[in-house]
Order: sequence, then structure tokens, then C-alpha cells
Amino acid sequence: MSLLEISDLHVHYRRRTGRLHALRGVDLSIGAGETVGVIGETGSGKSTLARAVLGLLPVSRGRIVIDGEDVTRFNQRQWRSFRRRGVVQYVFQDPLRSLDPDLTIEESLTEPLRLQGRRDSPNHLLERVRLDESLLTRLPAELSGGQRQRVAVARALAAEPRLILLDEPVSALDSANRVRVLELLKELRDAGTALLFISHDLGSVAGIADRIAVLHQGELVEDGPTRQVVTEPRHDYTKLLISSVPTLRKVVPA
Amino acid sequence: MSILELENVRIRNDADGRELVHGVSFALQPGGVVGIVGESGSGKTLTCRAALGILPEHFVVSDGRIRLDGQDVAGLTRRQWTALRGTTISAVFQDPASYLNPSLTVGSQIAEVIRVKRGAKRRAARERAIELLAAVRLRDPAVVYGQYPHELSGGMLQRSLIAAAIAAEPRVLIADEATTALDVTVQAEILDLLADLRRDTGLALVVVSHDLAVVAQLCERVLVMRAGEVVEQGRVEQVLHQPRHEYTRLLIEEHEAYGLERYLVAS
Amino acid sequence: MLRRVLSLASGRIAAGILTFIVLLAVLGPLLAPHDPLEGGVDVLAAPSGSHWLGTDYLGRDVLSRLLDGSRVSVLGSVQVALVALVAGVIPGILSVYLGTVFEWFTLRLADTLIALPFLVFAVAVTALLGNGIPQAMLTVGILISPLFYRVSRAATLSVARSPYVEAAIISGASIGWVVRRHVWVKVLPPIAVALANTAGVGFVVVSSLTFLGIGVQPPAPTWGGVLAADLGYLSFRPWAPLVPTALIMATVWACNLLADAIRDVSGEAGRALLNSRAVRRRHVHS
Ligand SMILES: Nc1ncnc2c1ncn2[C@@H]1O[C@H](COP(=O)(O)OP(=O)(O)OP(=O)(O)O)[C@@H](O)[C@H]1O
Ligand SMILES: Nc1ncnc2c1ncn2[C@@H]1O[C@H](COP(=O)(O)OP(=O)(O)OP(=O)(O)O)[C@@H](O)[C@H]1O
Ligand SMILES: [Mg+2]
Ligand SMILES: [Mg+2]
Repeated sequence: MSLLEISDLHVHYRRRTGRLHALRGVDLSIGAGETVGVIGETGSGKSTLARAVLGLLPVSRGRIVIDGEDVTRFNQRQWRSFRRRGVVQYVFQDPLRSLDPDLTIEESLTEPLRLQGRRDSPNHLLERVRLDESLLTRLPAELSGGQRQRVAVARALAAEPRLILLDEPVSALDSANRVRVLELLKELRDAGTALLFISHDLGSVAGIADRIAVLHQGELVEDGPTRQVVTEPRHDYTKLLISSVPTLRKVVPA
Repeated sequence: MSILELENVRIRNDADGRELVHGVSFALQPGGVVGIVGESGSGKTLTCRAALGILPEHFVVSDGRIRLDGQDVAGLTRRQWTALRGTTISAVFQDPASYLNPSLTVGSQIAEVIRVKRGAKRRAARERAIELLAAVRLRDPAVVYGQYPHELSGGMLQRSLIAAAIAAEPRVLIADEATTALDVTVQAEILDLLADLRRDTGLALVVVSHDLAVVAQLCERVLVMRAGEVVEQGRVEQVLHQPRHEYTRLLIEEHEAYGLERYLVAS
Repeated sequence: MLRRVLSLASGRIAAGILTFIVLLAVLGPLLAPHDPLEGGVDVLAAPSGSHWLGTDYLGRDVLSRLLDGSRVSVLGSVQVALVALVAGVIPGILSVYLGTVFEWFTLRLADTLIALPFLVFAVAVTALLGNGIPQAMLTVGILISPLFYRVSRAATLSVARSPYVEAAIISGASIGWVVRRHVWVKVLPPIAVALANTAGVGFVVVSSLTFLGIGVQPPAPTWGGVLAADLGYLSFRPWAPLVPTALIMATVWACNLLADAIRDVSGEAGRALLNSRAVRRRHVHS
């Protein structure tokens, strides 16, 4: 059964200069244990898609079903009790701002646990993203960019969600740590967690996703198995993207 | 003469007495590019901050020397630093949103830099700001000018920040993961823009990136850092082609593990 | 935060002066060498051994009147600040969360209160509710509360849409949770600054009200009252108004100094918020 089913999703932003049609009829579904990569140029609506699924943005048209529940018309209270079940979690694109600057890392990691009424400690989470426990007492501003990003991933794992939306979760990591986080995500996937992996880094997406969906100006222009999208891209943007990936081999022939 | 020179710079956290950067040295000529790669938390950002005189509270350069345009920065007053930042040395950091005021429009903040640092008139500053937003390949520069930071996507923010950083025509630009939020097509265009600036104005670059490919494409020399130590340093082709340190080898290996190469080579 | 405020020289000076003033308020009436209400034949006397600051037009000892009046003056301004705090901060924070009706209503109310001419309103209400310190301070407090309403509303707004609050909401946090855990600490520094400022303003207002004879029954001494009395006899004792004026000014100055110190130590976020033109601009818009 699919954990996430999006059909004909439209989202508008209201601005002083008029409405912006940020998503135009997106259809996407993710099953348990499946990883879907979403790529697309900046401003194409990737974060908007994730935020709409999480109920952070009003949906103008379409349907979102998470774990069999139609959340499209949920009111505040319904959302809250649904969220407390810990079905879905989000890793924000900007790790620094998604951590409260006045709370220590430990307090931030504990928050989702407490909200679920759990009393356990979050220490084991740090280990999973290869961070030292000494960081627990620090404030977000006292970590390096990559450390913060891993804390953000760890927090999303705390509630043991069955669906995780990850917005650029490895963008600030060196290749060694990126590989570790990607391995961790693979473990989760093998344990049955569904992942929506948003990234413009085609390399990371291709390394982990079963399927790749390509967003272009708010529309889903391509959706298929990873190998097919990478080797036989159909849409012009995808072709451009794949041909301009910088590889070490181009510069430094092996 | 070098425009920016670091000589065995060490950085210590006075709050707990730990040293976090154990000696970094490099020299940057006008028009030159040096890359810094390395493990997360190895001290890359701290090194850049030291060069800009904006280390976090309690952090000090405990040893070594930093020379900016021939001048030792150790004795600079806060006012002298303010005068240098933006015009002589400028930077784009990770976490772009935290460097913009959330309640002012993006454009007005860039125009402000131009007015303060270049002494431009209000109208001229506005025009120049829109030009800059176009230069970083934002689609509707005039629209973006009037938007608030939270109305922009991650990549649009990062590009606005690059525009702000080059607004006052600095001679050194520190780009700390400045293209992380950009997809490769835009990234390539930004790298081209920086290359143009290097050629035309002699802009010197310090590029911090986890993306070895970006560093390989853009830089002449590269430093590989791990746990506050520079483990390897030299010409890019040499370091990436014949890495001597095992950590560098590991980085290159893992870079390829998840790259597209797998698919592209297979096909 | 207190420790950090005290680490600044300005913070220490402000704290020193305010401690002194509070001590005056607590001990002042006990220290007064004479009965502040008892007149004598020696009218408008120059300072002397028994009357250090001389006597007023009824022959009452000025030093005793100032010392005795300090309690009313200080308590009055504290009352003003507290009323303003409660009446302003709670609706200010809630206006962001309780939906558009509440928001609209409180915004209009705040605007109305601001538009009222300050002293005239205070005089009118005292006339209605009777002349007494609590009535007067309640009125003044309510009149000042829009300041707190706006400061706390602006601070809450800037936090309300931040990603870390969204992160909490995604994990199922309620409004109460978000306010307690994330919003409150961010709203506190700007409120502390506003509070220190209001205490200063409150002081001036209490003093000027008592100067006008509002809030206290005439014979009871206050700093403003002493000042008013002194001003009436400038030709006899031209230097006399300086003492109550200096006391009032020192207190107000200390409050402002304290406000600045708080602003300086309250982290990046607080500082940016307080300094930015934006907060003021947002006031105008909302
Ligand atoms: N709060 C907002 N108000 C108005 N417009 C917005 C808002 N948030 C995003 N937008 C606009 O919606 C479009 C899509 O933004 P979104 O953040 O989804 O892009 P993205 O695909 O995540 O890009 P990136 O890779 O750069 O993060 C952009 O044009 C952006 O300017
Ligand atoms: N304000 C601070 N207080 C305490 N420790 C800090 C502070 N800022 C950085 N550190 C620590 O200093 C070390 C180096 O940090 P730095 O930000 O330079 O790393 P980096 O090389 O830029 O890593 P990344 O690639 O993850 O951004 C890290 O271990 C970090 O935790
Ligand atoms: Mg995004
Ligand atoms: Mg860094």
C-alpha cells in the first residue's frame, strides 16, 4: 500500500504582486520501503511540495493521502493528533534555522520524543549520524554546517516515522559523511520506511532513489525508475541536468 | 604580491582552551583561486571567519599571521575591519538565510550595501542591485528585488547572497559552500560568473566545498583538512590525481561511490 | 541574563542607581528626620543643620518629604509597568495565534488607546474613578500597554513562522507548547527592554501626575509634588527644584541605561529584532 499518495496537487502563494502558482497538478505516490528522489532547478517547487504534504501550506486543489488518511481537509486539531502519531517527519532545507537558537542540541532532539509522550533519551540518535555526544550540550550556532545538518536528520529520526521527507539532507556534507548518511537512509528504507528525497544533487539522488521525479516550474515533467531517468532522460531540463553534472573524471582523468 | 596570506594560523576556543585549527597556511594572488575541502567539522569555516575577522565569541587566532593586502590584520580596530569588509574582502556563507534580515526585502539589503560601500545614489543602487540579481541568473530580478527572504527558495536566497557579496566589488571573495543549494546547471553559471570576475577584475577566491568536482573545476590549489589539520596541500591535479594522504584517497573514493558515474559509465 | 547585564559597565551603573532608589523607597520613610506632614513657623528656610534641604512654603522639611515620597513614586511606577505588562504582553502573544477576530479586535483597541491624548485621559479617568494612586496607575498602565502589545506581537510574529517552530508543529506541538518552549524566551528580551523604558516613562508620568495633584491626596508627599511646590517659590529658593528633578532624572536615566544593557546582551536574534527598522515598520503596518 502507498504511504503517500498525491493527486493533482495545486498550491498557490499569495504575494503582494499577485498569486504565484507554485505547484500545478502534481501526481506522486510512494510505497513503504520505497525511495523517491525529487530533483528540479531552484525555485521549481520542491520545498513547496514537501511543505504542502506536511500541512504547512494550504492546498488549493487536489488530494493528499498519508498512510491511508486523507489529510487534505484536516483542521488544526486533526493535524495535531495525526502528527503526534509520528507517521511523517521532515528534514528542513536550512538546518540552522530549523533548530531553535536558544535550545541545546539535546533539547532539540528531545522535543519530538516528548511530544509523543516518550521519556527516553536521544543519545543513541547522534551515534547513528556519527556525531560525538559532546555536542549535545552545545547550541546550534556552535556547530559546523555539516554537524547541524546531521543533527537535523537525527531529529527527524527520533520519532521513528514511517515516511520521511528530506529536503537537501546531505548538501553540506563532505563525501565521507554523505556516504554515511546515505547508508543510514538505506538502512531505514530496508526497514520499510518510505523516503522522499529532495535534492538538486543528482549524484546523491541517483545513489539512493528507486525512482526519480523531476519538477520543472511547478510541474512534474518526468517520473520513472532511476536508471531510466538517468540514462534516457526525456525532458529537456533533465537532459541538461545530466549533461552538466561535473564529474571528477572530466577534470582529472583517472 | 599576495592579496590574502595565511601563515600557520591556529585557532583556539578560549572558553575551553581547545585548539580547533592547528596551523593553516596559504597565499592567494589577485585572480587566484584556492580550494579548501575536508571533513565536516574540520575547521574550514573557522579558518574563513578568521580571515574576515569574525570568529565566534571566545575564539582567537592563537598563533600565526593573517595578511590582507599586505597588512597584518591582528592590529585592526573594529572600524578598520568594517571598512575592509565588503570592499576588500567579502564572503558568502553556508545557511544563507541567517545572513539576511528577514523583515527587509532582499533587494533593499543589496542596494544598501552598494550605497554604503560604493556611495551610490538610491536610484543607481537599485539599478545596480537588479543588475547583480540578473548576473547571478535569477529569473525575474526585478521581482526578486522586492521579495522578502522567506518568499524565496533556498537556491534563490543563496544566489541573492552571492549578489550581495560581490556588490561592493571586493578583491577577495570567500565562498563557503556558496553553491550547495544550487543545481548543477545554475552552479555552472555561477562558477562562470566568478571566473569572469577573476579575469576582468582580478577577484581572488577562496572556495570551500565538499564537492570535489567543483573544487577540481574552479581551483588551482587545494587544501585538504581533517580535524583541524591540513593533511595535504598542493596543485589540484596533483592532489586529486595522485593523493598522498589516505584521507584524500578516501574522499575521492567515496565521492565516486554515489556519483552518477556508475550509471553513465555503465550505459 | 541578569549576570550578563551586570557584566557590562552600563548595566552595573544602572543596577547601582536603581538599587539605591529602591532602597530609598523601602527605607526612605524610616530615615526621614522629621514628620513630612508637619509644618513649622520656619517657612521656606535655607538648608541648615536641622533641615538639610531647607523647608517648603508650609515649613515642612523638604528632605523628609522627598524620602517619604520615594515609596509612593517608585511603587507607582512599578505598578504602571506591571499593569502595562499584563495588559499588553498576553494579548500581544495571543494575537498571533488566536485567529483573525481576536487579532483584529486587539489591534484596533491598541490603536485607539494610542490615539488618546495621554494626560487628558488620565485626568478624566481619575475624575471618574476617584482620586487615588491605584486608579491613576491602572489608567496609566493601560494607556501604556499598547507598547507591550506591539513589542510582544512583533517578537512573536518573527518567531511564529520560523522553521524551528514549524519543526515543532510537525512533531505535533500545540500552541501552548510552542509559546512556552520557543516563543517565550525570544519575546522576553524585547519586553525587558520595553519594561525598563516604561518604568522610566511611568516614573515621569507618576511624577507629573502628582505634580498636577492627581493620584495622591495633596498633603501626602511625592517627588513630583515636592517639585511642584518648589517651582511655586522659585524666587525664594531658585536651586530647590534641582533636587527632586535630579532624583527623577537619575531614575529615568538608569532605566534607559538598563534597557540598553539588556538589548546589548540579548543574543543576535534579540538584537536584530530590536534594532531593525523592521519592527517599527511592522508596527505601522499591523
Ligand atoms: N512563502 C512564500 N511566499 C511567496 N512565494 C514563495 C514562498 N515560498 C516560496 N515561494 C516561491 O515559490 C517558488 C518555489 O519555491 P520552493 O521553495 O518550493 O523552491 P525549491 O524547488 O525548493 O527551490 P530550491 O532548490 O532553491 O530550494 C519560488 O519561486 C519561490 O519564490
Ligand atoms: N561557536 C562555536 N563554539 C564551539 N565550537 C564551535 C563553534 N563553531 C564551530 N565550532 C566547532 O569547531 C569545529 C570546526 O568548525 P567549522 O565550522 O570550522 O567546520 P567546517 O570545516 O566548516 O565543517 P562543515 O563542513 O561541516 O561546515 C567543529 O568541531 C565545530 O563543532
Ligand atoms: Mg527548497
Ligand atoms: Mg563550514
